[in-house]
Amino acid sequence: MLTLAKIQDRTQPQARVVTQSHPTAGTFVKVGAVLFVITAIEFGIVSVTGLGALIIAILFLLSAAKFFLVVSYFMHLKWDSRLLAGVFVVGVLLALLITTALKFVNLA
Amino acid sequence: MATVTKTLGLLPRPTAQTGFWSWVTTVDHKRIGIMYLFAALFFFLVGGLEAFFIRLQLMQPDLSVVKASTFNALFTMHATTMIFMAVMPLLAAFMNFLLPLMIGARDVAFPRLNAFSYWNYLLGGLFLNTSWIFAFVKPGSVPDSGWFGYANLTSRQFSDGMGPDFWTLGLLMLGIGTLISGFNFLVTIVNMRAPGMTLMRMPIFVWTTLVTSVLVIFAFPAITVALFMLMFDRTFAANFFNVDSGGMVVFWQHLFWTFGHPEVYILILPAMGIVSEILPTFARKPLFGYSVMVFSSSLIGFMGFTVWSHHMFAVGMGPVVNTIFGLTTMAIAIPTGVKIFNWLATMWGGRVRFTTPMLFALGFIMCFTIGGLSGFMHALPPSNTQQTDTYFIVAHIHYVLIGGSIFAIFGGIYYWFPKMFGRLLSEKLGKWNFWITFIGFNTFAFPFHFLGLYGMPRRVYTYSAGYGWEFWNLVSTIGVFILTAGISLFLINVIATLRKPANAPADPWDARTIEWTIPSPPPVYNFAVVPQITARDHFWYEKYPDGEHGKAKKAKVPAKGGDHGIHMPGQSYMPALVALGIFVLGYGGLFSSVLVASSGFVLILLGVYGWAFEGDGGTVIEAGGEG
Amino acid sequence: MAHEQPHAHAHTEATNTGIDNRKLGFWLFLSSETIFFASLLVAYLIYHGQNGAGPTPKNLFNLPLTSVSTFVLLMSSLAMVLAVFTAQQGQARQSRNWVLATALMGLLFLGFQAYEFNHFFHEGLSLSSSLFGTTFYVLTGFHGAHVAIGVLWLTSVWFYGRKGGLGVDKAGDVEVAGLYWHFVDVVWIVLFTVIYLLEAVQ
Repeated sequence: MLTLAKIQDRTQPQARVVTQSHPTAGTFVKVGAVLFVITAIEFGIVSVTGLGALIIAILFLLSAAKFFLVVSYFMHLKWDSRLLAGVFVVGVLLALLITTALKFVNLA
Repeated sequence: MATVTKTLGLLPRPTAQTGFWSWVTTVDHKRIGIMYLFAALFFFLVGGLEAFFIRLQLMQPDLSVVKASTFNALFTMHATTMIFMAVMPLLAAFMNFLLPLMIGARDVAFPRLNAFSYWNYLLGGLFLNTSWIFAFVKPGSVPDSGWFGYANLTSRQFSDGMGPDFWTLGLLMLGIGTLISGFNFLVTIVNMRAPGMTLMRMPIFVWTTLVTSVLVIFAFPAITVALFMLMFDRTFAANFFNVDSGGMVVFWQHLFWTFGHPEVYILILPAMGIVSEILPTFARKPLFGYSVMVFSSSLIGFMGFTVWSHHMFAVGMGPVVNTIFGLTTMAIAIPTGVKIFNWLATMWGGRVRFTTPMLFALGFIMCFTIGGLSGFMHALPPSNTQQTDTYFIVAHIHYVLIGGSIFAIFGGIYYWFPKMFGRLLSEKLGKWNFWITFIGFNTFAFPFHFLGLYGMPRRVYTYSAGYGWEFWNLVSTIGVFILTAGISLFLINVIATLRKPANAPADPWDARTIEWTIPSPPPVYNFAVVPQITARDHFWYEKYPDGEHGKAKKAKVPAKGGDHGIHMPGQSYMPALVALGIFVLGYGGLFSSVLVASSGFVLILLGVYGWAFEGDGGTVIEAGGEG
Repeated sequence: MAHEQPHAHAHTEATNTGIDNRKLGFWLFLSSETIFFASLLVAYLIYHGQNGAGPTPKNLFNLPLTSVSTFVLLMSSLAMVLAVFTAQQGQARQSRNWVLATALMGLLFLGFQAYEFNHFFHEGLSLSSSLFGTTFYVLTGFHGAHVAIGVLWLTSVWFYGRKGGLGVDKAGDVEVAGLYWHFVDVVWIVLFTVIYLLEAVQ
């Protein structure tokens, strides 16, 4: 709600802004390549022994990186209005909160 | 003039403006709001009838007005009907009708989705209630496991009838429409306000609609998942709540209440918004502390997600978890209390007119406060252990839902009736309505506090003499009779008024918000010219440029339409068709019939594709002529 | 008086935020869907290890195979973004081709999933055999259902562009379909890690 109030409120309705694609097709291909590489690393790293619990952290970080890349680049949030990012982030945070709480409560 | 567009080249777009099909194919938020109102009032009476039988059965010890199994069905359906088919849709009626009017828009963001939400609701409600009909042939068809359907009572092992299946499928159906309304209202509020209507100039009812919609879109997915899990357990022998396989029945409670707690704020926030609109008008003072009210509503919304396990204090989660949720629950009482003080301060120093809407608003403040106080008492885990599953909880529920939501709704109906129907409800009948309802309600519900503290459990179909419960049960049932009389007066008022000529003025109450600047009832396009907003309560300052105590200026009559016409969205069969498909699919799921389910799917696909390919459609009309 | 007027430009209404209504509405929907999948995921997490007498994840999972299907889905996301990009650039025919490519890759992913489900079933894992069976099939099954709906949607968009391709005027439709598709991919990223990768860790 605070985010909504803070966003520059343009109450003079404006014509829909045609999103100028700042990125090029090349940008997306590069992101695609990075995604492929990360997935390959994930596949490889699971058979590495001796890392202990660290491996779980690494896997989470890697998949978080993929998540972030797809959402910011492929879903265009990097160039879109901050409101859209805010909307999605609220959902993700709440999802994390509920997942953590339910997992914790059920362990207790 | 008719448009010539055809869906898939086959079906012409509907254009009827009167008659049955005009209602089935309407996408006008005002008509949709009116349909919600009448359907919800119908279900309110159904739920009331169920309550009537409950109270008859409990009037005295050891009665056999109904069988025990029927009693279980009665309290389950009473609650489910009242929450999902009465209170929520009654609030939706207001949100639908008023939202575009209050922000200076011509309709909501997605008019066809809006229509779909309504048909989905109506058919979902009918679906659930056909269980009563099936019960004649197949006992156990009516949902009877309580409105929160706890696992594993609802498992196939302990409830082999169709009851839980009706409940699961019915709620899944109803949830779809509610979710979609949530998205619709949010986009409307964020994107379709008139020029000058900043977020902090919106009527407070719009703010509560916004917060409610946020709650809807984040709470309903949780119950959707819980219901699917239950359905899979019952239909495919899945193990989500199967103890033998390691399933945890408490997991159902967690998921359900993750939805269930935000749900109760969904039930009260719009009602609070209604009261916040009524009080300033009849106190002739602006709402006290508007920003604080906005902030409190938002805080209540957010914190509503952090308190759910207070419904589970007696389940054995342990002292740490109990303490955390006890603290969060007590915390949420703070913004709620703040709102109550703001309402009181709104009236303080005002020139109060005790019209019927005002009386209901005042009744709300008193009764909701009582309900809030009992709620606060539940918030302490040790006390809760004594109160939970007793009538003390039932007292809380009914004070916040009837004394709170329903009173606000009645107030809202009296207040906005002229805007919706062009006629003012009788004030004389209205006052009788209010007082008898108020006395009847308190007579019926206040004894629940005593009964609870004397140890009477919830959901018992009878009780033995000698516990000391006889007297208050009798009083409560007498209260129901009085309450029935009060509600009958309401219905008489509505029916009688609808037969009178529609000649109400645009602004019968001398109100503050812009829905009162347009005729009663509004033309299909709402505003001939989209208003330019210069302040909160913009209309008031137009009327009284010299302040409250100055002379009223004659309100500016909206100018005739501009040079370009007004684009109105096109009517459509598709929303009703998709809703019908889901309805049929529901029966397919209920009877595990591939044929029926497939027919449902086909209807849905036809409706969705028709919807997608028919486009926005629509007509352009000139303001001043009825388009 | 009403005039007849076709409305090819109905979606250029002005909005307070400058964001298209459908785009905003769809992001709200996606935000809501995160809670949906989180609830399903939580069930998988809390019931992890309850294999009953049946096969365990380690018995069944074929990480190389699933990694390939993950790769396919990721590349389908790339195809999708190129579909949106080319539509916005006015390259109507290319856009339509990329949409079809995305749908086909999605179909391939579903093929992998169907094979996997079938294999697991024959090894004794079913919805009712154990909590692992229940939570695995429901979580990945709901995801698969979302992919299937996406394939249907994309195929419909491809069909929609049969005359003249998917150019600038239809870019908004491609974009919304794209948002859905990427979200489904993003959910899989989470599922792949939590279900398969963590299982494979020694």
